Amino acid sequence: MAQILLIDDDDAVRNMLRLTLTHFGHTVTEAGDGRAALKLFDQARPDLVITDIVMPTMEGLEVLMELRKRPPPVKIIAMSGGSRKSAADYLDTARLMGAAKVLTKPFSTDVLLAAIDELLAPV
Amino acid sequence: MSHLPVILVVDDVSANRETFHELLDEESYRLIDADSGPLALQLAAKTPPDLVLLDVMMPGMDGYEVCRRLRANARLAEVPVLMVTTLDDQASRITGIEAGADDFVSKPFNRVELRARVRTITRLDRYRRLAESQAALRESVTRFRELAENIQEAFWVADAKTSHKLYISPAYELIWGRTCRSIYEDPHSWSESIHPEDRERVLHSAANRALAGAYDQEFRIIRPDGAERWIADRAFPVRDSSGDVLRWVGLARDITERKSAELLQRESDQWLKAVFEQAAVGVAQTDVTTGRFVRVNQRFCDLVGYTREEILLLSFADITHSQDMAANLENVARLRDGSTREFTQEKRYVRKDGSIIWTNIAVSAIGPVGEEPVSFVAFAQDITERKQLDEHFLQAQKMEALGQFSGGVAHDFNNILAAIGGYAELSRMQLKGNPKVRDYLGAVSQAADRAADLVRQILTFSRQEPQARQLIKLQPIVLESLKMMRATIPATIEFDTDVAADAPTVLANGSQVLQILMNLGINAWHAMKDRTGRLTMRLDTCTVDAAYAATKPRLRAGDYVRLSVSDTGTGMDPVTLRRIFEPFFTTKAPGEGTGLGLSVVHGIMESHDGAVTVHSQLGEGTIFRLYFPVLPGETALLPVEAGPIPQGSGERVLVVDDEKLLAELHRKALAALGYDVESVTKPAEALALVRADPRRFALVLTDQTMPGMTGLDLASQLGEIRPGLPVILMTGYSLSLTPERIKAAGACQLLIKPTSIHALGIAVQAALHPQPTR
Repeated sequence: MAQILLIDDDDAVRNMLRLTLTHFGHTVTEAGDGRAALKLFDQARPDLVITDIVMPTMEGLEVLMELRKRPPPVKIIAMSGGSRKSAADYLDTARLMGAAKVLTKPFSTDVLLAAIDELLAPV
Repeated sequence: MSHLPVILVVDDVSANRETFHELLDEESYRLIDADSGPLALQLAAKTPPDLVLLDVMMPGMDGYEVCRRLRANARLAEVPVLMVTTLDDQASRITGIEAGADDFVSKPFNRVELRARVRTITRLDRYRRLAESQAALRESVTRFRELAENIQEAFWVADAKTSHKLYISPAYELIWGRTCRSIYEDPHSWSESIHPEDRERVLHSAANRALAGAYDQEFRIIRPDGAERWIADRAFPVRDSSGDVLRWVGLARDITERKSAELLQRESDQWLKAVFEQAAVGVAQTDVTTGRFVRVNQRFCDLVGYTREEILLLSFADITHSQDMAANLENVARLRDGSTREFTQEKRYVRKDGSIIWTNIAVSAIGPVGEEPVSFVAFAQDITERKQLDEHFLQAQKMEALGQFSGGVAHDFNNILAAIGGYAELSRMQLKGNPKVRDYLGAVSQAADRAADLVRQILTFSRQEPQARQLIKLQPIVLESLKMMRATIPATIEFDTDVAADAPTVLANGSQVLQILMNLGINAWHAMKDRTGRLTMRLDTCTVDAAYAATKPRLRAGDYVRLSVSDTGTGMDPVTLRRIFEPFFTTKAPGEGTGLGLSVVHGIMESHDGAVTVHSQLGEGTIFRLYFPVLPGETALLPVEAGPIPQGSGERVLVVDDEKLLAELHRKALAALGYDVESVTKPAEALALVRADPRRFALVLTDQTMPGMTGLDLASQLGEIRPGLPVILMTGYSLSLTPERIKAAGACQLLIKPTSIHALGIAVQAALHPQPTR
């Protein structure tokens, strides 16, 4: 099972995801904003980062930019429900910035688990 | 015999009367006898005699009395009276003279003397009368002269046989500009003066006037000075005692002024008529009290689709759209009560075929100011097209507003749905032992899914949710949709397909196309519900020319793969037809449909750079046509990700994106690749920077979807400021534009999202250093 850093400013979503992930045996550290998340990342490097993109001041993308400066590359799943632009617009950028998987909110648990499995599967 | 002098012989004694008869030659005179004074007066009154032989001594009324009475009668006062006396006495003669006697004869008569006296008296009297009548004639000639020579008309007398003028009054000289003498010297100058175009007609009428018994002509003359005058010439025959026409007398009047006024009037009438009939606006006159049409021009008939005969049976209220009626009646009431003289209103008429036409009408009250109007005149201009444009514009705004709204709520809404769905699933996992509650939670999950689907649909029609598109053939999708529909739609609906196998590939999202076909197919079925019908699907290629494109707001000229779905159902009226693509507009009962189906079709076709059109006729069915643009040649511009990421060497790049952080991220990404990058969030700022210093940037990287100005618009404006400036368009829905349009907008590269830093690096490098075309 994996060590996952979960970043989302929406408490309900973050709590739900944490419960889901822990239910399936993962270890989760969580943050409600980008700055706290980077601190946690630096303290204990996780196997996987799952981050929302559109947070106040869109820290999700900032996080991705920052993570690029911390090689080796970490596996990242970006999520978005859209905002002023469509979710795809944000997720396209997230991909550009290094997200390996993108998920459009809302997504089902199965989709999330499948994405995690794919990323963490031994190459 | 009638011209013999008449002598009235008055004597009560018949022997005396006999004597007169004997003495006077009865071949020279006509004698009338009277045996009493009263009879004499009676006979004289009947036939005024030329002489009265009057006996003095008569019983009853004596000769003096008879004479006095004769003189008292105006008609007989001048009649000579020869009084017959017995005695040649002075007294009775004086009495006789006083009574008015002219002369006296005494009995017994001297035969010669009597005859001489009688002859003298009668002759003298005749001379006197002749003189009198000659004086009267002279007077009448003078009066005629005065009349003839002072009237403004030319009075003329002509010989009946030759038609030559025997007399013409001096007004001739004024009117004709010729001397009166000239017409006597040259009788033909009359006809020669007549305008050649009128001459034959006038002469013909003159030649036939004896038969017709009258002559009345209007014609033009040409004066010696070349001036033209209009003449009204009338004549009457003068006949002799046997009824033959001796002469014609006529009056020729100068009517030039009247004629030119007439001509002006006629011209003005014709002008008015032409204006009325050929006006570019409909003109209708209506009755004040009934509102009935009294007079309409052809344009008005065309506008409302009725014939003139039909419309004259209708009132304006009969063809006014019910929603415009109240305002119309209110305006008319103000006209009627005089509180205004005119009004304008935008209103709809219901045409004969039931369709609606929008007009702008200007209505005026006709009649004297301050009094009740006599009628109303309306000028109606067709503004249907403008109204439709307004509507399209409103529609576009509505769509955009809804798009912004849904984009705005999508973020929060999707988070909420994620939480609902996620917790429901979590709960299900925890509740292994309670199947009932697990079922409930399953229902929550399903509801959340449906809500998520609805949001996705809203985002689709508002183009907020781009979908990946690829080059595909539509044929298998059509067949797939038919298979699915056949499974759903009962056998009473016949299917008809016509799929062109050679229709080229298009850039499309297959599942969206399938969704469109299902939407249209189900709608077609609903339109044919409870009856038999035919659903036809056709796939072919077509070329839309500029003329047809101009009639469809969203269709551009070009080559298309066309997908048509038609039914033989109830069809739609024009009102429904105009609103069908509007989100949440539905003709179904509440709860039976979201009203999103066709707006989704519309949104999908827009995102495919295509268009959807609809034709429908009530009772005849509906046909939807989907136009997918045919892509010219090879369009794949995706760079191949291989080898190291190309690095920049300080080239200055401008990044444009309305989302600040996206702009910032692209700036950082490109900076990491070795470029010198600036970023702005407004296209206008980018334009200002380049305008200030056109050589400042080697490349512009811009997002396509930005409020106010698209990336393509920006590229084309940049191209005008600095031709050849490379611009990379980034767009989420791949080729939102054909390469031709992109090329037309300037030196453009297209970068299709999602992309990677690797792809970005390759694209930037390629744009900065284009390889010669292979």
